[in-house]
Amino acid sequence: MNKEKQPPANELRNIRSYTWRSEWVRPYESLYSVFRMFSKINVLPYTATMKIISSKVVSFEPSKLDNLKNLSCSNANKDFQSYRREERVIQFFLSDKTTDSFPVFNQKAQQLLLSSKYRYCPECIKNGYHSWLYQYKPLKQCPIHKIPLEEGPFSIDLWAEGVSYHPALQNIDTVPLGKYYRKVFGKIKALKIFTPSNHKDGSALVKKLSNKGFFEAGEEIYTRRVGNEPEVKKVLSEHLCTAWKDLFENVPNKSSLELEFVLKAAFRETEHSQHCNPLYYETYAPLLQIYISIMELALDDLEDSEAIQDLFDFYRMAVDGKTYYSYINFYLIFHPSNGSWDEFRASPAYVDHFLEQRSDLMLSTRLNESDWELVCIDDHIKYQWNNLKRLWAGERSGNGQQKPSWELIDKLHNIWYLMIVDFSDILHVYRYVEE
Amino acid sequence: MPDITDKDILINELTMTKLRSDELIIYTKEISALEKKVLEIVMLGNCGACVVSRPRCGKTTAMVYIAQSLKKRYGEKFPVVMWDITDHPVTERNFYWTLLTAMKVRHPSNTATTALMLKERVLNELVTLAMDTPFKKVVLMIDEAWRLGDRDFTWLMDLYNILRRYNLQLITIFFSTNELLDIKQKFKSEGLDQVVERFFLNIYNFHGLREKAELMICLSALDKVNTATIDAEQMPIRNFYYPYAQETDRFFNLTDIYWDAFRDTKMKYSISVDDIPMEFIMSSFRILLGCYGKFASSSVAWPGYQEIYNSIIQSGYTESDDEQRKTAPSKRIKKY
Repeated sequence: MNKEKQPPANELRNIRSYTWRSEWVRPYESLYSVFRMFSKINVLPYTATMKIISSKVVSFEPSKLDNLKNLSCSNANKDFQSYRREERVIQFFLSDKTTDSFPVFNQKAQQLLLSSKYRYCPECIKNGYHSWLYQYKPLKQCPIHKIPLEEGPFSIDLWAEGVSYHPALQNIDTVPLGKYYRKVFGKIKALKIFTPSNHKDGSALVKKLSNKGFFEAGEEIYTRRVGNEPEVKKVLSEHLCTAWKDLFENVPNKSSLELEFVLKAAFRETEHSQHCNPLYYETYAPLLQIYISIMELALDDLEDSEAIQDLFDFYRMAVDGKTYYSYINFYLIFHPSNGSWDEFRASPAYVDHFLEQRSDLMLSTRLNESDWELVCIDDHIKYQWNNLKRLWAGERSGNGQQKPSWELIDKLHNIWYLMIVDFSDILHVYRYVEE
Repeated sequence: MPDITDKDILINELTMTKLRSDELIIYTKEISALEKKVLEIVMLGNCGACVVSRPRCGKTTAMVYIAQSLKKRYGEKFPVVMWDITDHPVTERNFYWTLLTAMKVRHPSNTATTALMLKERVLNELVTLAMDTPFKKVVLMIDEAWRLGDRDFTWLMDLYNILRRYNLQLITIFFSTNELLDIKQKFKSEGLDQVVERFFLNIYNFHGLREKAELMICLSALDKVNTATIDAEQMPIRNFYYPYAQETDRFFNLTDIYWDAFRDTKMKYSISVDDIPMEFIMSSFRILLGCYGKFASSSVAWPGYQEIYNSIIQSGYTESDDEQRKTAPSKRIKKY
């Protein structure tokens, strides 16, 4: 049996264990594609590649590559807390020349807008090319080849083989990708998607975004400059005071001390702990906003008609999911552990009480920075109420129905809110209604 | 005898190392002619060439010089791979493995690494090297090419063909003793024209020194050589080894007696070949310095004919006649 001779030690000087050129990273190429190309050029299995990249033996699971399909080789990625596991790969292939990447998404935006499966162009794959832009669900066809993108696990056979795979021999025209990127994301620094009802199915939103940009998909309901956050505690307190005074004008037992008590409970203040801008998740600010919005609706919008009063009670129950607690008792603020809604299913009117416990909530977010979410809650409650009234009026004139029903509530459309920060540091909030 | 210090001994050792190494390359007429030839081959994009000569004529040194020359012409990034063929079993795996090592690439060594994988790695490396410059060429210089087996040439041809498809040029230059020409004859007799026409069309015979003028060039170049540097000090080797020589004494002036000494040695030992392998020029020169310079018990103020003659004898030049020419060619062909 032939035995290979190892080269003498002095011949091993200056020997490199891998070959790589940073210019081989093509514009808009995903980190997965780059990683794969590295493995291919050096004819290495993924485990050996990870060993080279991390300079040590690591136990490698192929599933760790999944996140790489959404990432570019941009410097921006290394700050992503959510990509800790991929940190070594990101650092290895970092390129100062690559600056474009997805805006900062919250988890909801990521779930809705980015596919969890691989999305690829059958023609680009032949050149060993995959772009992180392809993972964007509203993008239906490859901007380069103008053919539909396909979805699913990458088959080995699809990728370029042999010498033709070599990136130095490729010449992919990525200009159309750049144009698409600038058109869709060019002005966006950060994007969050928020849904008070915690909907899961965003396919209608995705479909809308296929044809319209983020700034045209819905109606703008709020805007301010980043850094110009209002003092949310003060604003909410003022709104509650105003509503309280008007609502309980003729209720002798309602004292202002009770108001203070409600506020303290809502912001979870104690004698020794009072912060003008506490952590958002440590307060019940969303709950308080729900109550304030309901109170304002009760004050502004109720006619004397009993039917409207019934409709409002029905709506209020749909909003907070509670059948037997009056909103003027602020029950949930004092009994947060009873927050799980019971026999009422979630509806388009429902506002999730546990917003502060959302998994995508950044625990370091302060109350003042979250003002836009409270604006969305307020808008949601009032917008759906107006829609419900229109629907009910239609039902009454149509079939003379007297009592509101859950079928009516279910006819309401789901609402999504897009919070966008542009590169001028202006925060915009858009309401998008599924139709 | 002059005083010899420890520092002198160190300088002597380092200088002798320098004189033996490729750090000192004398630009002889043969190297100059070969350089022009190779530059022409590379410019024209020919597939390959063979440089053959007797042993010890300086082919390897010429190879190093020409590699530097190519980089000077085409830029530092221009890829020149120098591959020394060692005596190893001829398998496809070994072929690609040793070529990768010549390209200074280490590939994981385990039983799962197949010849196909190594081939792919070699091709990727060659493409990378070729595309690093706008010339899209890689020059592969193979030393001791007579050790290559028939299949090695086929695999080389394969690499050439694949790269050609992508408009990349692999230029292979073989450096070998005359046995390589026997391999060419063998391919021709077997009808392997595709190998012959790719690799054996340009044959260049490289010689040692054939004229006194060439020896003069060498000695003149050695006059300009300094000792190895220690503490930033250096001096011409002439002054270091012959401190009592006259101001006007130069190695250049020894040309006539040096040439006569070689001629007399040839006649005495019936050395029939005209050219003097460069190895014996340098070897005799080192002996002249080491055995007759200040470090020797029989040191002289300045070498004369007798010292030079003795150095030539000591260098082994008397054994240098190409004994292989005296044996039947068929016995020299490597069997695989």
